[in-house]
Amino acid sequence: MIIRRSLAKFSLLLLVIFLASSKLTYSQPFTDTAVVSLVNNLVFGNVLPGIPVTISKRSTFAAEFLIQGTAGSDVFISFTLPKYMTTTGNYMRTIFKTTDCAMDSSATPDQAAPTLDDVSPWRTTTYTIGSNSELTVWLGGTVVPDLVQQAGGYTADIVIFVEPVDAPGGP
Amino acid sequence: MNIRFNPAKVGRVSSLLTVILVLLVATSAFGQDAANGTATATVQTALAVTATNQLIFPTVFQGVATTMGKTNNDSTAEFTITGQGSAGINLILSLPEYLALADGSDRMTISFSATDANVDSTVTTPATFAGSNGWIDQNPRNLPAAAVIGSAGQTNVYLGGKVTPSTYQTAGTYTGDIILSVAYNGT
Repeated sequence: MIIRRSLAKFSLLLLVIFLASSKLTYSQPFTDTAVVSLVNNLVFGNVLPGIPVTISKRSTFAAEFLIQGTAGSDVFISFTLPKYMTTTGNYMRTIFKTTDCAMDSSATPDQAAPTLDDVSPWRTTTYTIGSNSELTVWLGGTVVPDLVQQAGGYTADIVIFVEPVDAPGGP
Repeated sequence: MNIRFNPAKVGRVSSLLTVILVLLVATSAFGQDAANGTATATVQTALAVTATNQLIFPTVFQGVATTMGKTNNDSTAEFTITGQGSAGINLILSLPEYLALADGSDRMTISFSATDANVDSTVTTPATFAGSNGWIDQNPRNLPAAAVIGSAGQTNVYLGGKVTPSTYQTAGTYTGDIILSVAYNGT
């Protein structure tokens, strides 16, 4: 009998949640979507100990992301950036300046003269997806190896988040 | 009112409602996306400098200047630099003007000519070094700006010098520090 009552309460709870969710969904509809994909990684190449290396956002070695969504709609764009690159047991400092990001929503994205330049990758940026339903994002950065930096291959994750401005719970 | 629950049916209904709930939650998050990129770098070999041989003058007599060449395998100063092959380096020698007794009671002049250094990027020996092995007859106060770590990951610097004892030079063992500083220059 106790089990039956518990199951009944659980089912009732699920029903309430179901109804609440339904109301939430239908009372705040949205139509815009955005998908982001990686085009190029940020590649510093060979780095000598003690010699900082900067990859410009204009460089072919800069990170590049492609956002696809509803033409003319606004999206929030933000990053999670690493402070260090790592290899087994070793760290190397990375720096992303407040001008290290650029975006272009034109039909023919131009990395050399983007439509939105000197963007801070540390802040959420709102920008409009182009008429071709695309928005390109570039990101440069700097690594600062120590004088006695341990040799080896270092990596770090760069995560970009994209969200339509009219999405529920947006920033 | 007597309500009877069939546990099996309740379980199926619960599962169905759970699936619906998950779908609804997923739908509410639809429209957002994230992508992972990677930053990559390959750090090259760090520099290391070792004083392999000391600059050793033979017995010196008062008032008689004595020179040690840069081609003596035993007595020429030799520095060994290891690092990333073919990488450009800056070389700076800090040279003493005097050698001194341990107690500091007397000093003896030491000098270096504008051709007292060889920079060897092929790792031979001081005695067998030739111009084709690197940079020959270099000014130790202005070592070649184009110096590199040899393709084998090593470059040597050989250094000679001259001491000039005075007529009244106090007998004893005189020493002085010779310091080679090396840094990558990014080339």
